[in-house]
Amino acid sequence: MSLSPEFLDRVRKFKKNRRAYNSLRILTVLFLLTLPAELLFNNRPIVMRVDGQWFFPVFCDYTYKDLGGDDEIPVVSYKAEMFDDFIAGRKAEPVTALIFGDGSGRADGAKPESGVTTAVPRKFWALWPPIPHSYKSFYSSKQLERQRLASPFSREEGGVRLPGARVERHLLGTDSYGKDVLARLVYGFRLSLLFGLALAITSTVIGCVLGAIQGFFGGLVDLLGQRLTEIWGAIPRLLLLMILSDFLSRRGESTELGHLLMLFVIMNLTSWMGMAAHMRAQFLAARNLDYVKAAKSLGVSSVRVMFRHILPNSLTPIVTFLPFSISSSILALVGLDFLGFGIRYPAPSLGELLSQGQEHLDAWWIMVPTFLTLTSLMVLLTFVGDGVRNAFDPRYK
Amino acid sequence: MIPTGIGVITVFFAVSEFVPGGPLDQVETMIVDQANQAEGGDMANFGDEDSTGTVAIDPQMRMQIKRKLGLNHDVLERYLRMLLWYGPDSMVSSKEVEPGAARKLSFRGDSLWVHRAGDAYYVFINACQTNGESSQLTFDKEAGRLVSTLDRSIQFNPQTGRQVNGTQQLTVVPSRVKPESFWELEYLSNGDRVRVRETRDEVYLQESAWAALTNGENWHGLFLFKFPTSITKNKKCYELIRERLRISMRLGVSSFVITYTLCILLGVTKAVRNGTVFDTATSVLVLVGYGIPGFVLAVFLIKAFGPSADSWVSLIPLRGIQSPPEIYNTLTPMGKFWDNVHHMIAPVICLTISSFAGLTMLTKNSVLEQFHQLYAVAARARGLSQRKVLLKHVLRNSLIPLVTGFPARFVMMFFAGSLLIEKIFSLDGLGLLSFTALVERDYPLIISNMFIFTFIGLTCRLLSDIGYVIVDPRISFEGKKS
Repeated sequence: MSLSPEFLDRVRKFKKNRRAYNSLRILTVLFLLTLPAELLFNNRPIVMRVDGQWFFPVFCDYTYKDLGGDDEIPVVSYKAEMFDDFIAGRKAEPVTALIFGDGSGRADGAKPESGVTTAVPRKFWALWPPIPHSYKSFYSSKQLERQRLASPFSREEGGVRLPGARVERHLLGTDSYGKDVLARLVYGFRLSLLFGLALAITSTVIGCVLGAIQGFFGGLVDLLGQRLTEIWGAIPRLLLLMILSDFLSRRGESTELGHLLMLFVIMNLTSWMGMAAHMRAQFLAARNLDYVKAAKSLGVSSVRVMFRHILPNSLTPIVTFLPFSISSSILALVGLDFLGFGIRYPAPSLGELLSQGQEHLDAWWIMVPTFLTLTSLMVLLTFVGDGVRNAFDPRYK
Repeated sequence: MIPTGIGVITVFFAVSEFVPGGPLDQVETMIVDQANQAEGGDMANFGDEDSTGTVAIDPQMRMQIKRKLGLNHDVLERYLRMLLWYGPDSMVSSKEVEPGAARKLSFRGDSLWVHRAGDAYYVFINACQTNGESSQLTFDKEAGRLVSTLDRSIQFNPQTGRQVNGTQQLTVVPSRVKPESFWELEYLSNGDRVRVRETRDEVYLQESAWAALTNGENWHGLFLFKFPTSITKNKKCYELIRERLRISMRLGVSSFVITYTLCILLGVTKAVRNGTVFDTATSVLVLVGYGIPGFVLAVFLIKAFGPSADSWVSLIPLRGIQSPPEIYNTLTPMGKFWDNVHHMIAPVICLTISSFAGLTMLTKNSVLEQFHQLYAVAARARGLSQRKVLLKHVLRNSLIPLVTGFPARFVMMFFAGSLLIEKIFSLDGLGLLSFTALVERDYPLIISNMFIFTFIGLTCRLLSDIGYVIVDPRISFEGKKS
């Protein structure tokens, strides 16, 4: 399928629209910047060297045994007491290790009382990401009290400046679970965009196929399809999504990714209708055109006529719809998250941040950045969409 | 239109029915949760406690829940009952009555007692008139029988199933009705008949079919706008919806009117001044507005101008659509009006902000298109002023495409937009009602809500079709006569 000169002409027209083109560029840059978020915001070193061996904690999970220790315990956090003890060659008390080894950072720098300093410190070198927090890095319960809803500027508490800036490099403060807001924003932004993009693409494909079948065959198929679409479309989308997602969360997948995928599937159920309606109209019009008739009379199969002949000539609605489809997908996800029916908590989500912002109105550092991120993302997408529509849709001049 | 409505309700019914975690499971989990939360002493009320500490729901309890939810029928009957059904639910099952005990049940406004002694079941009308005096029945636990306030005691004869000491008007029905047959008995307070139906292991009381048919009250189902009772709120869904509909209507209609007025004005102005700075500036402005999601803006507005101490400027009043009644009632009429407007400003802004772009551009493009049509050019050529052409000729024609979006937009403002916004501004509208219903798993309420939404949506579609004909007489929905 080669692109027609007309198509390229429209792309050129789009590029001439400065507002839209710049928005697209900004979006692309932001997307590319947040794509390697694991390397920029993480509580694991990108590369580290322990006793002469190389490790890549960002990409692999290690146990202490892998690193040369004795225990078969996975290293959950590289900012935790347990890990520090391991590097220093101390043996942490097993019980506290189990309780606080979940990621407790040793902010005050004090040595644990129970630590037995017998062994030799290990040779250690690590390359840390610029911000040592990931969207789910967590703290020991002792530290959490201080980390909850910490504002980015006030590191003081009761006139005493809190020590331990090593753990506390929170540029935008923390949320009510003590997680870094900036990290969650960045990860959430990436997730939203990826989710929106993927959902837009799959729903476009689904919509194309269904719309094409309706439009191409017409008659009874069309009538039936129209009625079914009407019924399915009359149910409020958010309500349906809430019911399905609620059902999902009470019995569904246990892993973060599995849950996200299921959410993706159910959102696909409701998002194809606009596309299908447009494609149907395109195909209805196209099926009486001469080139289609010619192809049919030459004995070309229906599927081939639909997807090799008509589809390339019906690209306009697909391209014009895509940006708006992305933004509405993102919004649906954010709305679900906001209501608590979306992604499960530790996963980074803009909607969840927004609802935290509403809950804790005093914590402006949650609310305002989230608002700005969401609105600018949406406005940029809208600009792009508007530009695309102007360039591609002959009705808009 | 009606098939679509049925289709929507069917799909919804299927979703709530076949998706695991349906109504019964939900209520059971709810009860188990409650029981687990309650202190040990209270647990006995909910069910038997296992040795593991979890609460199992005993079968009798389960039956009662099922009956309350109407789940004692099979799927098809439940589905039909939801849409349109005559006759009341079967009222009581003997399974709910333990031997030697009696249960008081309400049936069509009166109370009945069902008493079980051995294998037999007896049904009594609770209140009856004897010689102008009314008698009340109570159950004497120690004696294990029903006692009338008038006669101190009632005796019945299981063989004849008839004779009662003193109070002739009490009717006693033995359970030994033929299996799967009906036993009709006079229902005394208003001459209706009650049916007693015995299946293999249960006795049901039902209203007799004739009484059910002739008595209009007993037709129910969504199509007659007779909604089921909400599980959680203990109120008829209809009343709940009516209360909330007022608020939703007010929000929906005002944002609707505001959007359309502003968009048409702006669109026409933009068309007239096509290509000027004003045109470009407003285009960007509307686009930005389109980009900002309403509920995100709502959260921001609450933060920035909300009533809490943490906001920057306190402009938006506290929750709700009006001030609380104790304040509201002291206001002057003018003050009341302002109070209403004041409470609505922020929600309406959030509801409307994203709908400006589409409508404005649509109006603009449509007006521009019409200006270039031959009739408009001709009118200009005849020397009519631009203004006159616009108002008299172009405007009416360019409004046609606007009417298309009418129903979708209206319903959208009712639900999709407002669920989030109602939640954020705590306005007790329909959106919030369905949300809480969903959170509390109140399936009758959800279904009723769905029905209302669909109904409004379809009515709007009809209205927009009518609107088409009014705006454009060329459109005819009858077949072409050629």
